[in-house]
Amino acid sequence: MNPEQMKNDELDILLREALQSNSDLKIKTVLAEKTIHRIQKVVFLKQLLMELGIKTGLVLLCLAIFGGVFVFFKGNSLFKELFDVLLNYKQHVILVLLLILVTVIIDQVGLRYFHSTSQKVSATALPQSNMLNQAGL
Amino acid sequence: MDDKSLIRKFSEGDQQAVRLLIENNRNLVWHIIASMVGNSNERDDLFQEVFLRVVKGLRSFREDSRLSTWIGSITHHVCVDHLRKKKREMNIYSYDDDIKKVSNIQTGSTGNIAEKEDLNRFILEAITKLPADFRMVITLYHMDECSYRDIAGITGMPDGTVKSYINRARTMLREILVNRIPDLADIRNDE
Repeated sequence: MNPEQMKNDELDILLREALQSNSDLKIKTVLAEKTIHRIQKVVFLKQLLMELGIKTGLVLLCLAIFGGVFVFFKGNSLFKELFDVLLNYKQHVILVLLLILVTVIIDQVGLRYFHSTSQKVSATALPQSNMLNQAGL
Repeated sequence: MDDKSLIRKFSEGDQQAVRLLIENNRNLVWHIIASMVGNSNERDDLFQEVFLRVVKGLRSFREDSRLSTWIGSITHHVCVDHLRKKKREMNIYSYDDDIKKVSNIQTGSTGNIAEKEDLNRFILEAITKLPADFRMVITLYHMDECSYRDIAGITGMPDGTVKSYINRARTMLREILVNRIPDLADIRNDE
């Protein structure tokens, strides 16, 4: 080791000791835990919304396939009648769709989120995602 | 757990991975914030802001650097954005509480500082007098044992600039310390 390197090393030791003694550079445990809980909530909410999106997509896909098969075999005359009925009762239809949407969001996201976060959030408190089970597939 | 497994588990919504991610990187993030931002309330908010951004951007992490370097780089950006918004010069920062204690030490005297605690305080005071970039680089180098390349990845500076900043910071600190504390003259660099 050359003398200058040694001098740098000595200075580095002094600097390291001084910095380590600086209480300002020590993170508060409370802050770290608070952040972990907050991020766990955010990740869990994102997960729930993603699951909801996937389930909704699957339902729409099934309906589209079912409709396609129906049109293929029976023609689309029945669908024209169905659309006419839906247009005549569009306010009712929109209301029913909104009710279904709100109910599904409350059931699949709201209740699960608040149930999990109302308990003490810990590493194992929040249920793990299992989309296939949840979707009943 | 390596970075890849951690990210995969995190993406699956594993709560333990969330905890690990934060615990593994909390000191690095805090050191960057603490060396750039003076106000302790703002620091707490920024700390949470950093991890919120990490969660949002984790899918865009390309693994061409270490995860900690990427998180450090986000922290640096968050702090710079914050300081820009506040239109505040980075140089006016001082280590909050410690500087108050340090300010009680009379500067300019050449008396011996025998107590280790006083010496540490004096060194901290000297560090706070460094330009903000120097201070951050020195903090990361000594507290987090980051390599030049890691610091370059975090700050966006070239490796050579990081090395130069560390050397210049050492020279400045050496001058301040030796002028103030003659007992430390044996660390003087006669280059």
